[in-house]
Amino acid sequence: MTKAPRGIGLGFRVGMAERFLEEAPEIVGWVEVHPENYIGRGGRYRDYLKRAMERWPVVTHGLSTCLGDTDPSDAEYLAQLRSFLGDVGTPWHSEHLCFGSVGGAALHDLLPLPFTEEAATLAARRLDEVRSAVDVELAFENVSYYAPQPTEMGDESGLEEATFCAEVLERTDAKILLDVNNVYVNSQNFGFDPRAFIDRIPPERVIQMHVAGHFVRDDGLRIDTHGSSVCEDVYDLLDYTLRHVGPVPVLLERDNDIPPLEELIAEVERLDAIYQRATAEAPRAAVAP
Amino acid sequence: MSEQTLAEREATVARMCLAPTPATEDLDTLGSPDRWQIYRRMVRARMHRVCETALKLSRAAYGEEAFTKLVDEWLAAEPPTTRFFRELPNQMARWALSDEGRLVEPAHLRDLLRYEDALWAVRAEDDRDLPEVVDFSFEGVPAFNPSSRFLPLEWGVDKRADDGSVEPLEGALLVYRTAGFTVPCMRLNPLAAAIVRELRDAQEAGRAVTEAVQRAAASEKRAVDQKFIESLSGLLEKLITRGIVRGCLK
Repeated sequence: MTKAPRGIGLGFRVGMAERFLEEAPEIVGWVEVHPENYIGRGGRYRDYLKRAMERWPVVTHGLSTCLGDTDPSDAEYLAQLRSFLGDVGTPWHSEHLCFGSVGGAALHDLLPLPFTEEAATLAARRLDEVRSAVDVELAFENVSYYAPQPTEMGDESGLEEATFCAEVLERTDAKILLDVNNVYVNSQNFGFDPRAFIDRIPPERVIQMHVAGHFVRDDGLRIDTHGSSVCEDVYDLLDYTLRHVGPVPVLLERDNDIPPLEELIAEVERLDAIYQRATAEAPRAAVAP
Repeated sequence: MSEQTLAEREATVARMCLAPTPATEDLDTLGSPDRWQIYRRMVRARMHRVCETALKLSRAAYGEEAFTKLVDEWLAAEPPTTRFFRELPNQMARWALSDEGRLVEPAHLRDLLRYEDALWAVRAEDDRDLPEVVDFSFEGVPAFNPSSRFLPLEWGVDKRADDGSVEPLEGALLVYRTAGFTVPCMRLNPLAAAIVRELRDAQEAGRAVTEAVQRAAASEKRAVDQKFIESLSGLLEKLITRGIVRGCLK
């Protein structure tokens, strides 16, 4: 039976798995895993996943089925993915609104799409394809980007990306995994109001959120590294977003320079306090997939 | 607004990331060259890092600079096609070994790369949902656990002197994953290597253990006498208790 993820979750990473599984902190309500780390793989990873599934609801978040890829869909992988999602019992699955594979070459990064009609059409089509292939609720995640993108989403307020995301949502019945850190990083790098971005996303379409830490270069450019603590501005933006969308599960991502478990749990506790306070006053019930 | 189609734009980004040096024309087409170079560095750094981690002994033996150049050449010539990040070092190693003219010095380098490639692959090998087996018997067809690799090498790269040098190897290496997820290496003498090779071939060909053993004895010009039987029993016990041989196919 699928268990519903609630409250604050933690990205499940092998680097911290042993102690995390042993201590199974109560404050962590659910975990998120990347299917690519487990599909076709045995050994320690599978053992950790099995133990995590015994303790928490598990939600899946893909890295390689990028919704803006112009390469044909990989039917064989999608069949494997469907099987994996069924085994895990995830209530929904998410992929990124970006591209990562070109002419058969896998670039292993989340590369930005232009905010164009062609890209929105492609992403909407891919969302429908992937959703019918995996047979589970599907969401896309907004990504961070560092180079200005061509746009046809005319907007004088600098919210071309938000308009692009809303446009893709409009064309499909998919949900959005709203990465609050990515919204913040992009707002600082490209000079728009992150709250205006959040306001443009239909709250009823938000199924999950991400928060993470990022890196600020000497020249001020912010890079989404998942390698440090969540910054104050992102905590504030999360509070604002929760009041906008209601009690949607929030995930803390940490992929690099993973600190001792105590530090991660302290971040989860702070996120939980924000979550409890903001959602107590939020108007909307949690999204039920 | 860009004049390129989306597919053209994505191809430009890929070229910009994977070429030995990004073409000025590609950077100009994308606009904001400094920002796009960030992507180039991120893409390449991740790929270099995983290869350096998985193939650290080969990197040390070849030299850091030469290894970096090798990875750069791979990215330009035959970029990764796998969506599984863990498989990048295996793809890189396969490409590097595909040309006999590469990695000629030191002499054991190619064997060292084969060895590390095997260690990395065995660590992640999927051993779930395997065909059912019955107890091991000489009449049955042997069933190996896929999380093992038989390496008929010329150099004993599993044992390295402090200066990195290695001795020639007589026989072969067998790397395998334990129940505790470690990946040790067994050294096989020439007879044991012949037996394991024949047992693995027997699984592929559907031959019985008895026939595999006879073929191994013949290839090593050994009589199947008491001493042979004792060696065989000791080897089979190790293969079975360590989970390398699961039993016989049903």
